[in-house]
Amino acid sequence: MDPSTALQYVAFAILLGGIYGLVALGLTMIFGVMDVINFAHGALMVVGMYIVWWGTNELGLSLFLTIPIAVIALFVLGVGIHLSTIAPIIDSSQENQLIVTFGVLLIIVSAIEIVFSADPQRLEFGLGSVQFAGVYLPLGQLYALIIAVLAVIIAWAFLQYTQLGRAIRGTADNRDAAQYVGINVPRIDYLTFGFGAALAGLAGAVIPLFQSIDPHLGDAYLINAFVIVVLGGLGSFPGALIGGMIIGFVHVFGQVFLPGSGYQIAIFLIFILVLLLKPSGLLGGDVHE
Amino acid sequence: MSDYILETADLRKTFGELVANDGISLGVERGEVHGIIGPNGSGKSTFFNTVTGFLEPNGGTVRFEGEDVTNLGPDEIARAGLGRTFQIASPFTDLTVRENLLSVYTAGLGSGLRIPDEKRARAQNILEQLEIEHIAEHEASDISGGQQQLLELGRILMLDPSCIMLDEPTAGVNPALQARIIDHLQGLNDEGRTFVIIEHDMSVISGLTDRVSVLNQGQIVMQGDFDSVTSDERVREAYLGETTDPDAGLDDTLEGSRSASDATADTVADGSPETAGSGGTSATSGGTSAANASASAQLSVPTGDTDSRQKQLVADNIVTGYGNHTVIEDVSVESHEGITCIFGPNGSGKSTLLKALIGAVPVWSGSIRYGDTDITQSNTYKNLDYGMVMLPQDGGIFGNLTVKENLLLGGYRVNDRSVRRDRLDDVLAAFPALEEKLDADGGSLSGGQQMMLSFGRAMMTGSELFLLDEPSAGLAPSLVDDVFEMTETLVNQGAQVILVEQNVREALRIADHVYILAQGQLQFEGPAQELLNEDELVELYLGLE
Repeated sequence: MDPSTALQYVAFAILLGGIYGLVALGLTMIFGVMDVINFAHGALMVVGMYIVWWGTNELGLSLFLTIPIAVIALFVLGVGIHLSTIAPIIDSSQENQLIVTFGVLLIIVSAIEIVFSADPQRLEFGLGSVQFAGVYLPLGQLYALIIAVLAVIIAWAFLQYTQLGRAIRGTADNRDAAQYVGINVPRIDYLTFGFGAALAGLAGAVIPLFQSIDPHLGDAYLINAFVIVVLGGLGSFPGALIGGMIIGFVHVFGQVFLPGSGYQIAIFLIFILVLLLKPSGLLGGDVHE
Repeated sequence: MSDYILETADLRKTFGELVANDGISLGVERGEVHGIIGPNGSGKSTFFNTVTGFLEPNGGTVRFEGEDVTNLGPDEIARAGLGRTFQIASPFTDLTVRENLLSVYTAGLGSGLRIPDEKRARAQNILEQLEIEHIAEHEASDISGGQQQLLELGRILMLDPSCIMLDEPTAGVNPALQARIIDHLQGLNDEGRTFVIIEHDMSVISGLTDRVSVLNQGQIVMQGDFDSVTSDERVREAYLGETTDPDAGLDDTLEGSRSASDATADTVADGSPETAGSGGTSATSGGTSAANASASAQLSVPTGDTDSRQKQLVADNIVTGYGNHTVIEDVSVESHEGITCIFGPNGSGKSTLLKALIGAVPVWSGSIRYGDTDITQSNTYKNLDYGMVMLPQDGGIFGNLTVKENLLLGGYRVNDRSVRRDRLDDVLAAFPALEEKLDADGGSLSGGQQMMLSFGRAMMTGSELFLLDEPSAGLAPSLVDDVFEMTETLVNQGAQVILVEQNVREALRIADHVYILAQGQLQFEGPAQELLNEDELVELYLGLE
């Protein structure tokens, strides 16, 4: 492999890693704060994809408009889903919440299938590409990368430096103690679910920039996102980003060097290895029993 | 040599660093009722679990009816005739009471598909004997906590055990049913069954037991009949905590508390001229802690009420509990100027009461007011806006957040950034040790530092009333003094404190007003100096009145 090709793949890997990180960040945030495993996360991504595709193609809106609309719509949708399905059973067993989110997944994906059919869709215009230092970069992917990296930085800074972000991390850390410093835990719950959904929405929103979409595309991303969340440490925010990058690289380079879907096997092998060697994940603090 | 039905020799059980059972050698005589008492964490339940095969011992032997049962499984031990109950009754909730009894495997897995008639007859006998026949067809989830305890006993009786180990059989049971349980135990004992019983309710222990063993820190510190055990100094130490100053008797302690109250608040100083004299044990004389006098000078009086009179928390006739267990029965408490202490043995409901006051546990009936505000239906985070904050047991810090982030979250409900920053400076001035650790994760701090952080975080809220849930629990003796000094720091800056403590002797030095709780009911209420006689204190504490 010559250096420029290698660089090319590194660019692809960072891009994919950024998107994976974005998906996993929302998932791990919801798990960390509420102990809820959100199966609907991939479906929320799909909603983001279709908002951008439909707004851009059918309504002729600019991407600068449709992507933010997708993020805001998913935040609202996430809060709505939380208040109507998760909040009433937040104290019941984790299996119940898991089943509810799985139900939400089925409803969302089926609804999209009914409205837009199961056929793959793509944006009608190409974004072209640029060549830089011998590396060929499709602009769609480049924009997606920039958005993903920006979003991750903003999400990280939000969690790190704002009182609300600290409250979310505090609630994730010690739910019981959070109430004693005056945090309204149920409110943090629905905001977190909203933010998590918005991150899923953003990840979904940038995907039409470089690949065709269908109602079930979320599933593939979701499975890898689960791997990333466990890999990085359940509930760990930096872990989600690092895990996302690792899986991005394994995915891209696995596709190059391994036959067929071998990369997916490699992803799970790494996953199993981490679980064997460090079951709490790369950046996981305490092991949940 | 006596006839021991159950005998342990040098039984040891450790969990990592923690030595839960440190060489327990106990002989239970055939036909006796043997009580096991001891403070929270003394290893009582671990002892039960190790004896009955639920935990594997790290050393020592258990002999039952002369046979070595040390390495048998819990089911084998149960069928050998050594039954036990659990602290929390756990019947099969979807089965009826009768089905619960019939579900007991009396003959191992080989007993087949058909329930023999003898077994049905036995279940019927037990239902009649325990007087729970009228609820035989009710699902176990629908019966009261006390009835569940009886059912638990009934299930064990299905195995016809010669010895039964009971883990707090009357915890959370109302007095009427409690008396019935005791009657049944007495009757079963008269039939010749041996009992080993863990119980916090001393009225149960005193009436029922032939001999009592006292556990403290994994060892038997004392054995004898009830009266001789409760008057023993080692037993008092186990329950009331050790005095760090060996010369300080209770009288000195009380004088210390008086001089402390004189210095901080004047409501309880109703002219006791003998307070002078030995200032040597005064609570402020430690001087080793980071929480020192400078704190009181630098910390501004909390914002809000500028009225010189402090708001008072008044709780009337509180009843609360968990599930169908009543923990607090009709208790009325108030916050007083200075430090209000709530004492009581483990399981008496102190922590639950505190959580009910702050709104973390909903009250079933009764009312709570803070100042002019009715906060009966309020919750923890709203109560912070009214100016009351709680430090949960073990501090409740955020282990994955830095010290600075912990402190900033203490100011979560403070919207004005400059106020937040000023408070942070004040807290760091009060606790300089925290300043060096600002960027360290909370979880990396030592136990004492974590408690300091918890105090600091609570101070960030600017509250006027602090509820402290056993802040000295699990800390080394030298740090216990520091914690009480930090507590006094809160008072010196103008706040009121309600303090729940196990270290009674130490806490009495700084207490202004005392409540004593036992079995969910108030046994005593009054200024700290009224607790003159330690015998009386022990009796109140153990609920013997």
